[in-house]
This record gives sequence, C-alpha cells and structure tokens, in this order.
Amino acid sequence: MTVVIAICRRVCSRPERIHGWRPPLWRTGLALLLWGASAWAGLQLDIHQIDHPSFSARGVSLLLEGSAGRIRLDRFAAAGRQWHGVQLDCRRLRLDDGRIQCAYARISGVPELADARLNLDFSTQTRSGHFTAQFAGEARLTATLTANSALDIRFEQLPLALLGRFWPAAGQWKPSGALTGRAGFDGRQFSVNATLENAGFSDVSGNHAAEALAGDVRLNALRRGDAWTWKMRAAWTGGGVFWDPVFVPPGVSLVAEGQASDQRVDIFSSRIEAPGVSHISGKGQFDIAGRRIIDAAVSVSHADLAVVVPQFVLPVVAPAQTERWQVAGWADVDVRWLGGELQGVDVGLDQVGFAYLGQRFRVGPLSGRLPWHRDASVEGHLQVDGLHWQKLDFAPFFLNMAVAQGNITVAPARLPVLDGAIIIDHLTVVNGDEGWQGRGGFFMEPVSMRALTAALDLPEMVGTLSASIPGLLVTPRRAALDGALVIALFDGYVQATGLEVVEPFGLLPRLRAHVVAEHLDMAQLTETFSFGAVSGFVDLALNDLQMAAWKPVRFDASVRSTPGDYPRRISQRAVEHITALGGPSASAAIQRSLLQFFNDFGYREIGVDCRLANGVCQMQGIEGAGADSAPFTIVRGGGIPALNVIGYNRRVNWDELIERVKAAIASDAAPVIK
Amino acid sequence: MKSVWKTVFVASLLSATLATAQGNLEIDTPAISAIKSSMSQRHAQLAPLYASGAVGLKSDGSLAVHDANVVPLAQRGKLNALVAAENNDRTALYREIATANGHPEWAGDIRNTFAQRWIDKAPGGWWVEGSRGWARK
Repeated sequence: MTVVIAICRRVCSRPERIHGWRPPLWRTGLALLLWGASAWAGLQLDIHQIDHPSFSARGVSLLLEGSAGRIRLDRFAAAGRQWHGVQLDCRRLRLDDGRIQCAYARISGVPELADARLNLDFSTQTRSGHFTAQFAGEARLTATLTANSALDIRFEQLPLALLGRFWPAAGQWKPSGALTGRAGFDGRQFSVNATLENAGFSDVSGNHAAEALAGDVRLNALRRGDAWTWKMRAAWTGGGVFWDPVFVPPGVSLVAEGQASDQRVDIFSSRIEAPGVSHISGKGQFDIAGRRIIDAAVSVSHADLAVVVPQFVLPVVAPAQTERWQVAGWADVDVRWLGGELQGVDVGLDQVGFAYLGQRFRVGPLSGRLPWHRDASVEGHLQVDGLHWQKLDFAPFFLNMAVAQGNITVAPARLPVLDGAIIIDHLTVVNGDEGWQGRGGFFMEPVSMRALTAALDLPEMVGTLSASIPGLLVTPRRAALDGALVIALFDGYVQATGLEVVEPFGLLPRLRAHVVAEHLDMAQLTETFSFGAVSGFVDLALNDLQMAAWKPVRFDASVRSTPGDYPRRISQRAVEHITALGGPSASAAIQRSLLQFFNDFGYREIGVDCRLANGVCQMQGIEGAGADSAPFTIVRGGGIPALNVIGYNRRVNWDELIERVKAAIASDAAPVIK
Repeated sequence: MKSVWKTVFVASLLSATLATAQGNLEIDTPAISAIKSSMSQRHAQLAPLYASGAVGLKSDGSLAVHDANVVPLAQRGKLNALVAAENNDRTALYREIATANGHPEWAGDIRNTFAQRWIDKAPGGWWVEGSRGWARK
C-alpha cells in the first residue's frame, strides 16, 4: 500500500510523499484543509483514492462538523459495480491519530443501502478497520480489513432481497430468504462458508420458482497465476424448486473441486448425491465465453427409475401422460463429451419395467445395455423377460442391436407368444427430421386361434393367426403396416391390409384398415357366437374401416354368400335374431306366424351392406341401393320351407344395433323342437 | 350449486350449436364422446384453477398457465400436466368434429369457433386472452 499525504491550510497543494508509508496495495493522498484560523470549527480531509482487490474509492473527502460529519466519495466501485456521489452522514465522526471513526451513519448515493445503519472504523496507520451495516431486523454485515490487506466479511441473516438491489438481473427473480456466514479474501485465498435459510425466488409467471430453500455451501479458492483452484461442498436440505416442467425436491449434496480462470472452468472431480440416484459423478472442462462443454464425463449410478422418470423424464417428454406411465427398475448412465462434441452415451438397464394405463401394456423386467458412440457402431442388447399387451403374454426373448449415429438396427429375433411367435425379420430405428422412426418387417409363426381367444377371453374359435408384414413403420404417433395380417378362421380366412394405428398410447387411439374375409363357415361362426345355426359360407368386405378408441366410426361393409354349391339352411333361432335386430315388433311378428313351427329353413342367398358414418349404419340388401323407405332383402329364401328376411329400416343407429346384437346373443337358448 | 352451474357450463359448451360453423358441431361419435367424457372429468380439477387465475383461456381455443404463482410449488408440475392433457383433448375434439363432418380441413375453423365460444361463455373472474393480451372477465 502506498500512502501519500499532504497537509496544507485552506489550499491543498500537490501531495507530498512521506517516507516510510509505502504499503504495497494502498495509494492514498491526504490533504487537510482547516477552516478558521482561530477555531477548529470544521475539518475536511481529502483522500484521493483507496484501492483494494475487492474495492476502490476515488475522491474521498471527510468533513468534520463538531462530533458529527460526512464522508464523501466521488466514486466507489465494488463487486463489478460503481456508485457516484456517495455520502455517509455520520452521527459521530471522529478523526484521531490516523483513525477514522464514523458511527450511526446513513448513506446516500447507494440506494441499495438506504435503509442500513452503517459504522466505519478505519486506521490509516495500520491500514485496517471495520465496516458494519445493520439492516432491518437482525440482518447485519461486518467487514474487517486487517493490516495485511485480508478482508473478512461476516453476515448474519442477510436478506437475499439485497441481491436484487445490487444486481437488477437478480431482482427480476424476487429473491427472498436470508444468508448467514462468512467470506474471506486476502488477495490470494478466497473462502465462503454460508447457510441459506427460507430462501426462494420466482419469475413473473411462477414457472421458474423456489420456496423455503435451506442449505449450506462451503467454498475455498486459491489463486495460482491467472486461475483459481477451488474446492466446494454444498448441501440442499430443504424447500423445493420448480423449473418448468420439473419439480426438484431437496436432499441434494455436492462435493466438487476444480480450477477456474476467465476463459474456462475445469472440474477435476464432482459427486452429487440426490434422491433417486446412488450418486452422480462428473469431471470436465467448460468454455465460459463459448458457453459450451469442451471435454466432460458424467456418470449416473444406480438411478431408481421409479423416482427419476416421473420426476424428470415424463414431464419433459410426455407432460400430458405423466400419470399414465408407471416405471420401475434401475439404470446406470455414462455420458462423454470430447472436443466440444457429445461423444458417447452408455445406458445400463437392470430389471426395468414400465406399464401404460395400469396393466394394459406392460414391458419388463428387462435388463441390458444400450450404448451409443458418435463415430462408431456399437453393440447393445436387451433381455426382455416380460411383454404383456391387454391379456397377451409374450415369453422371454433377447434382442441384439447395433447402435450407430442416428439409428439402431435390431438383429432378427423371435418373440414367442402363446403357441406361435412374432419373428422380427429386420427393424431399424432412425432419428430423422420428424423424430424417431422405426422401419422394418416381421412375420408370424402361426398362433392358434384357440389359444388366442382363450387368452383374450373371447368365445373359443378354431383356426390360426399369421402375418406377413414386409413393411412396418412406427413413429411415436403412428404405426403403419404394409402387408397383410391373415387369420385362418372358420374354414376361411380374414385378411387385414393397410393397417395403421395413430396415437396408440393416446386418449384416442385411431385405427384404419381394409379387411376382407372369404369362405367363412357360417355354421362355425354362428355356433361360436351363439347366434342360432346357419349353414353355408359368406364373404365379407370391410373397406375403409376407421376406429377411434377401438370403436368403429366409419366403414363400408358388405356380407355376401360365398358363390358355390353347398347346403344352405338357417335356423328359426337365427332368423329370430336377425329379425330382432329390426326391433321388438319384428321379432314378435315371426313368433306369431306359422313359420314358428319349423326349426330351420332353406335359403338361396344372404346379402347385407352397411355403410357406417356419423353413428348411423345405412343398410342395403341383396338388391343393392334403394330409397330409405324401400324394404330390402337380407336373406332370400330357397327350398322348402323357404323364408325371406326383409329389412324395413335402412338407417339404423349403430349403437342401438350393437346393443340389439348383444341382446340377441345373450338371450340365445337352445331351440325348442316340436 | 356451484358444481351444478359448472356442469351446466361444460355441457352447454360441449353441446353448443355454433352458428358460425357450417358443419354440425353437435355431431356425436364414439371418439367425440370419449373426448367429452375425458374433458368433463378433468373439469372438476380445472374449475378452481380457472377461478384462481392459474389457468386462462387462450384465443386459439387452448388453455395456458396464466399465473402459476397461485398454485403451491409442488403442484405446478401437475398443473402443467393438466393443461397439456386438456389441450391434447381439445385439439383432438376439434379434429374429430371436423372428421365426423367429413371435412378434416375444417379443424382450424372449428377450433376458432370454439375458442370464441369458450371465451364468451367463461364466467366473470376467469382470465381470457384477447387481442390486447390477457384480461380478467
């Protein structure tokens, strides 16, 4: 410190250097201007400048007026800010033997401290002193400057709202709470030990906010050349933070050490412990100016997915469905950056399971490893010990995959289900402009309909389900099958093509398909669904089928007798059920007629069409289209006795029709033969 | 009484015949029924949020978090999820009505028509977005 003193009367001359006062860090110019030759009514002391690594003052003058006085600073700079025209009005100001004592002072020119009561005690001889600021309540800040230029700051219950006063950018966040602790700086070492109590912040919208925060931080830093090496410990023990869309609870602790300079920060090591993870460790280098990671490695160890996924993942990736997914299991994640680029990610999964909408769709437990490397294809694998959709259970299977830049290729695999299997022939998942997209092909080893219907709690059917889907397209929103799903059933087959499911996991899954069925044995069909007895065969076309929430909203259906020569009989019970679809009166009519004495009838042809739109089924019979009021033939009789089934209502409410079908099936009983 | 009023309000909004649209906005399909049911169930949770100003009606027929500050911090994630889910349903509703009318391209017009109707029907005290930004009715 360098001190340069000049004493003069009335007019201050150029400061005169006093031998022996040359401390390394201080440069002070003093000028005393005495008023009144006969009496010391007033005294003004001018100090040209005071410099310290933590602050500087220019144009300092002290004015004594009796026991009171004022200290003026033309300019004061600290913590990266400057104030001009600062004035301390001291209720008691004393200059004694190189010591300046200002007590019970108010400050002007620094609006941030306008309500603080200040005390200053500074010795120009020892270059040491104390500064105290007393705020409302118990809040207090004391700064002690020692003779060797070490600055020691203690703060008790210091309101964080002060941050907003000093840094307008912080003020926008409405900081609250109090800080108690100690900070020290001696030009080479810097240390902070602070405890945060009941703290919070919030932006205007409340979408980024914290409440009741509690914690403590300890930081020690040592200057080495232009850089600081540092060590810190921090613990967040109370309160919560909401950073849209994630809420983070307390219980987080951090231990870290590293080095910082103006250009970059190096973290030599760090370890975070938090709820839901065993620990997170990391190290790396960060470019401050470029705000980017240079090199880094972060490892998340044993993350409990039941905690982490609902809290941090689902609010980001599926905010509308956070309560529909359940996740369990553990994961280890390693992430590496090199040369400013994300270099690799390695995810290890252990006993992971997830379910959608309760138990409707469940996967797991599954375990394995999913790696990714920027410049190379790497092998990953998954052992899936459970896959359940609705009531279908898949047996355990194993997936091998190659993970490369932007795509995952799944090796051929066999997914056993019931007494058959789904064979993945090829499958590649690509991350493109429209997000993740899977393309591939698969086929099925036939699954018996007997096993399938039993698993799905459907009436038992005989036949097989098979599929050959050379083109499969899956996105998070949509799954489309280019190929055919074929069910060999009732001595014929049902084939679905153009299958597409939109938002399969949304509120409103939508399905589109074209379905054709040929040569379905009506005897098996009607027996299976307890709809009476009909012999013969039918073909079916269900074009432009559209379903929403798995209910049909639109289709163009046609049922026709299969061409050919075969016995064609229809039981009275089946006729009753068909006519009952027209309403109770139609059913009663046949029961009153002579036809009730026959058990079955011959028929020549069955034919009915239904075009569903807006909840209404527009029907037509064998004759084709006609006026709404025109009757139409559903069953054309043939043989002895013969019977025509005539429909009279071409526009039928679909929901009512379904209820009538259900009622007809439910009321079915063995026919009475007399 | 309040709950009765709310029910009537939701029902009137969902079933309103809107003169400005050429299509049938009363049209009902299984999909529309499912969406209406989902929205009605959610309304019990949304109603106090409308009243407190946490959630407001946007001019594009969706909802937005207007002032999260009135909701306890730990509940704000759920608030966002609720708004996101409601907006998903509303978008689906507009799309389904357009599709059911046989004109999927009407979805935008139907959205606009509903948007104005939601705002017109909103009771006093709710926050709505107008041409000059947010305002309390």
